[in-house]
Amino acid sequence: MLELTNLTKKYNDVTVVNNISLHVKRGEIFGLLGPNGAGKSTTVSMISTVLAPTSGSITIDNKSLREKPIDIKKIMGIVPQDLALYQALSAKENLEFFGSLYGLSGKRLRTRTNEVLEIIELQDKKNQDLAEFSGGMKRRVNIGIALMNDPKLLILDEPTVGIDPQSRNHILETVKKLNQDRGMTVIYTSHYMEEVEYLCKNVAIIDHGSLIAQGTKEELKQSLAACDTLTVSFSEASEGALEQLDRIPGISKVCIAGNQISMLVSTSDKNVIEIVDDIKKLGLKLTSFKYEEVNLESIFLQITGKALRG
Amino acid sequence: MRKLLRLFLLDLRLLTKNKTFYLKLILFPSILILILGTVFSDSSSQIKTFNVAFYNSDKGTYEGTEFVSLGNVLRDNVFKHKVLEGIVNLKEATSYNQGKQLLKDGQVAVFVYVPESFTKAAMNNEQTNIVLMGDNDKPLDKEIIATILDRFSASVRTKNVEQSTILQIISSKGNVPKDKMEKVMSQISGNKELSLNIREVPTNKEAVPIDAMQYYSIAMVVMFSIMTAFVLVHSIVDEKQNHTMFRIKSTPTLNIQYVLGKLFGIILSVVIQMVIVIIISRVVFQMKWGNYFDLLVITIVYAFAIGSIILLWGFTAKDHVAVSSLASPVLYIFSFLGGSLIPKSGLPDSLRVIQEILPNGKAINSYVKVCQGVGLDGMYIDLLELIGIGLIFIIFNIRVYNGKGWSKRAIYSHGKKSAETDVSK
Ligand SMILES: Nc1ncnc2c1ncn2[C@@H]1O[C@H](COP(=O)(O)OP(=O)(O)O)[C@@H](O)[C@H]1O
Ligand SMILES: [Mg+2]
Repeated sequence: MLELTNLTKKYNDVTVVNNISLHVKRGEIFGLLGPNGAGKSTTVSMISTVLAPTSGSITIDNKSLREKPIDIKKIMGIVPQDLALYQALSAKENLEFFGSLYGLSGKRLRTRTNEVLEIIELQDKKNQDLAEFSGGMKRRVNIGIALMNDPKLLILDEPTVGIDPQSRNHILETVKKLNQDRGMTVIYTSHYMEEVEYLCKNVAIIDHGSLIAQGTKEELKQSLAACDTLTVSFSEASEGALEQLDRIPGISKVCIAGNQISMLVSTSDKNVIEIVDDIKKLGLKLTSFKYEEVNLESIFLQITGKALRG
Repeated sequence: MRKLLRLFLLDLRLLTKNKTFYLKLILFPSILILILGTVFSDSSSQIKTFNVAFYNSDKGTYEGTEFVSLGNVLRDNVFKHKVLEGIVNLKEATSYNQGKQLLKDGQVAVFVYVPESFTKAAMNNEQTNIVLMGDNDKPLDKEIIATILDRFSASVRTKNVEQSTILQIISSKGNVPKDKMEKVMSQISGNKELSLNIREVPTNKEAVPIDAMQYYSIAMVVMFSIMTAFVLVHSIVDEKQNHTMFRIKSTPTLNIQYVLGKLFGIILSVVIQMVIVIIISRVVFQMKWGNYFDLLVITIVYAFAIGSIILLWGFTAKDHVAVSSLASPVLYIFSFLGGSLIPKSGLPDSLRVIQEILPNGKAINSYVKVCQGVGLDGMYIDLLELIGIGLIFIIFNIRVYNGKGWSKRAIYSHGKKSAETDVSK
């Protein structure tokens, strides 16, 4: 369905997307995972034809985006990360306007608007101005607009940032349903591991514009089985203690930032409490510790050897 | 075509939600016309040639060996100046009483009397004044003369003949409230050249002369249309900032559709504005315009050209502040050079050339011609040039809009200079 080949975007000398190649199969939900500033939105912008790549090519539905942009735009729905809505208009008006830009009109436009309002569950509020909507409702309209042309390929750029859990669940369910019931191919970008884990089979992880891992969820997890994260805070450390941390069995990739230490731990031989005890024995006064199972942070730590930025 | 219409309708829909826009689109020009109306309208709403009785009893005085008579100067260098030719028809009275009588009989609109010791008193900085009497039915004529006297007194540095003196004379003569008179005076004296030069507007002999009210109504509409275009151009910045431009770009909408959609919004608004001004000036002041179809054609063509130019700024500007910051200088410079503030005839030759090149100047000239009864065939070159200007700028607009990454610029406006350069790709 979608093929990115050596996609690169540079702003002057700054490479924001670096030589990314990806393949998204028809009918799947593909997860594009990466921390803030990784280059996800830039990639989405290039796929949306809003931004021209510096080099590389994009093929959608076996058509080159450069050669047939209009054909491709017709079968694609884009949900931008930033709400792209007319706040002064109602949900219905927003849907109708963008629907008309997809060439819908008259009865077809009205029918489709109602269908989409059903999907995003805003039938009862369709005539209210968006200015009165909550963040979650606006997010839903933002998604709804991208559904107006009943796209074959739906691209969602961090659609759940900054909203309440309820709206978030609703969005995740909607995406899943669209994929299952209608066979819509979906590209879902996020910096939340759980969302991608829930929705996607195939995942690509990018950082600093480069692809750092790609495969099915299971493949990625397997290679990272031993990689839960442990984050500890300390008030005092005896001399040399920090240097000795990675000699403790089960601990790898130690990353120290101030008085916080992130590390990957393997819990196959020892449990977490025992590992924490080992750390204390080195002469560290711990004030708190946090243990998380395999997640984006741990994958990050594993691959890049550094903690996830902001 | 349908998409274009939708884009255009969207703009209108958004505008109807914007209260201040109504204010600017409808209220501003209306108020302006009303003000102009009060200034220019009365029983003799046209500045036609009018008679002025002049009695100069000034004996003059010797400055060293040189004889000076300000009264003579006023007569020979001011009232008989060619600028006033066609406006003031000077009738020299033989006595003060005869002058008054002429005024009473309605043979002159204004009587100006220069007292015996005027020059002497003025030279010695003593209290003195030129007496001005006017026909109350012709306040406009009186105002014109008052303005001239005011300028005269200023130019000979005769501080004694002050505006207040003249005002006093005028208001004591008539039933015009003083504060209103003062307002009108300041209106006129703020535009001194205008009042004097208006009569020169008709360029060819057969043309029907147009009056000041007509000229300024046209000039104001043309000026306001520039402002309207700026107001509408803000919607482009809105679309950058609320990311809907990003979204529109991701739909199968052609760039030209988007650009034209915006342009049509401007054209329609300008046309509405023009219609309002015409209606108000017609209904309230019985002002005559020319052939309505011709006016409509000019308005559309002009709005097309000026809209297209200002649109380019909208596409280029990063934010609302950038749009606004250019609005007043452009408005001022275009209005000045285009003849909205000073009629073309009042401009020096070099600037006149510019006036004829500027779109708003072309528009003013064309409107004036229509008011004078000249048909479209008398101005088609100007109109074609306006269309040409519009088309050229449409191409620029599309190029700028197309320039990849523009919507991103708004988002990353904090960005380093890299954000700037991606425009050139
Ligand atoms: N127009 C631009 N000029 C310069 N840098 C940019 C521009 N757009 C994006 N960037 C940079 O590219 C990087 C990737 O941004 P983005 O694609 O938005 O990341 P993500 O969506 O993964 O959070 C960021 O560091 C951002 O600052
Ligand atoms: Mg992003």
